[in-house]
Amino acid sequence: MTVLRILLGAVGVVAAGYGVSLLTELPPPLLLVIAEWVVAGVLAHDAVIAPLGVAAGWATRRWIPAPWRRPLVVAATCTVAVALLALPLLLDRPRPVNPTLLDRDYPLAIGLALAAVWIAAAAAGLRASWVRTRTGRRMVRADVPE
Amino acid sequence: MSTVDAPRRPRGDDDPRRIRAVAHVGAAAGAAFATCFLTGLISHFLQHPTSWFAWPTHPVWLFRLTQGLHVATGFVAVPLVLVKLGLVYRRLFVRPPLHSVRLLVGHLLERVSIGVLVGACLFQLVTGVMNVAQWYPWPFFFPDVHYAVAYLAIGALAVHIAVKLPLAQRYWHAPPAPVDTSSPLVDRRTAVTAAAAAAGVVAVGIAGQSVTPLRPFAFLSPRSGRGPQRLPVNRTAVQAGIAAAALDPDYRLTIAGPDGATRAWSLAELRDLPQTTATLPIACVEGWSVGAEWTGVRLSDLLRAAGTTTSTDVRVVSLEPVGGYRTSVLPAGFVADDSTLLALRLNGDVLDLDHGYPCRLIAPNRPGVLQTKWVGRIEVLP
Repeated sequence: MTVLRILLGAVGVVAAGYGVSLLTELPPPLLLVIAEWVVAGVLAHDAVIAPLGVAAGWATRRWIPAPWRRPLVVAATCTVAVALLALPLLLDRPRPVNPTLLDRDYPLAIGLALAAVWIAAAAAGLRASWVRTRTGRRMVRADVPE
Repeated sequence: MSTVDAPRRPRGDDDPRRIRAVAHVGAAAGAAFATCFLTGLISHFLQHPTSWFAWPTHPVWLFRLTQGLHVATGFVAVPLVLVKLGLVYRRLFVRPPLHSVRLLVGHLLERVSIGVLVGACLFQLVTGVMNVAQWYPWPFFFPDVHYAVAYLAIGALAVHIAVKLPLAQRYWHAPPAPVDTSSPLVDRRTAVTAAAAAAGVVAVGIAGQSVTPLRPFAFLSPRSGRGPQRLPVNRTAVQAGIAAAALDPDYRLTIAGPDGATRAWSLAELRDLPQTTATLPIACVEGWSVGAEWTGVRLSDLLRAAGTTTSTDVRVVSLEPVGGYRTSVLPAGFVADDSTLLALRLNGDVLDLDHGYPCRLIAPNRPGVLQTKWVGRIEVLP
């Protein structure tokens, strides 16, 4: 275990060092741009996406009945992931002139996919509510996270 | 709802169930990154051949599989990384241990390493997803930078795993009993279910760009899989500015031997040579792949007709005047392969201009970007 960890750590340091050495071959102005993209990615997550997620989680616990929380969180996670990955497909941005690129009806296709996700979530929520109603107070512990 | 007002534990992150969730989702994200890294290396060394990297000509679908996996695991990593980071987000606000220099140094080292890890991983995911949709709002050359930062990301990941392995191992299975009712905004099973479901939805959304039967469901794929002669086009004739040269009636395919002697064929002469048909996929580095039926002159036959060897590498040169991919070097093993063609026809018709008319290289098990289109010259290397 210890040997494995030392080995893994050493390989990691060497690999990261090799990555840095490859980067330093690039002209400094490009390095600056790359650094900007790296920092922007971290900031976009830590200052925007994650706080929104925390707020959504808090709101879910505050206002959403217990049986509906898990389906809601699962469906919301799917939606956020799909939305992020769909940005290059949906945004109005410079596109290459190539009729075989971006040649789907993305609003329709993505809308259908998310509709399927939320229908499944609604079904799961209804089922959980129904189970709880049927079993009554024995299920009150479901309020407590697992 | 007894959970909201419960007293906070002094260190919420010691909640074993959270650590367990982090370990499980983190392992999945790590596996996705490892697959992405290894398949990415294959693609890199196919495009930058080195002596120690030998790649077979068969099975013809191998690169289709590895590159499809590369893009699919990158896409699937997005929800996994999101959930993983969400689970550990509170660690960002842990107060530094100011009472001990030793602890403080360790704390800062961990912060820096996590910063490198997160920054490099997000950079790889963002640039990769944008590249697949051919969106380049940056001045750097994507493949070089994606390759360099990949080592940074996988290295930082290896260090991170080395540091966290004991913790992950301790809490991997059922955690000890005490139920912390204060910390999690979501419970472990919800987090793991959310990660798995979102990964599954994304997988369905992208897998169809490489797995043909799933194509109708690929709502995140930048391509429908359709195109002229039932095949998408990575770079059109208009984009390459090639139409005049490719449609020139005086077109000749020139073969240059290792001694510099040349021999040229007109298109009509190429059509008169024995024709061979092969079913080979175009497997793009952007992850999409489509099988097609190609007909044309077997490259080894043509080299023999030119009176030159078929046992060395050849350089295939496009009519394109400029461009990073106007030439490709075909290793000797691919030159000799019976299914390597200079294709004149595609799926039963004369090759479309966008697919490389008058003739293009098609070899088994290679990145599409190296299947040179609008071929004008073939140089047999010494």
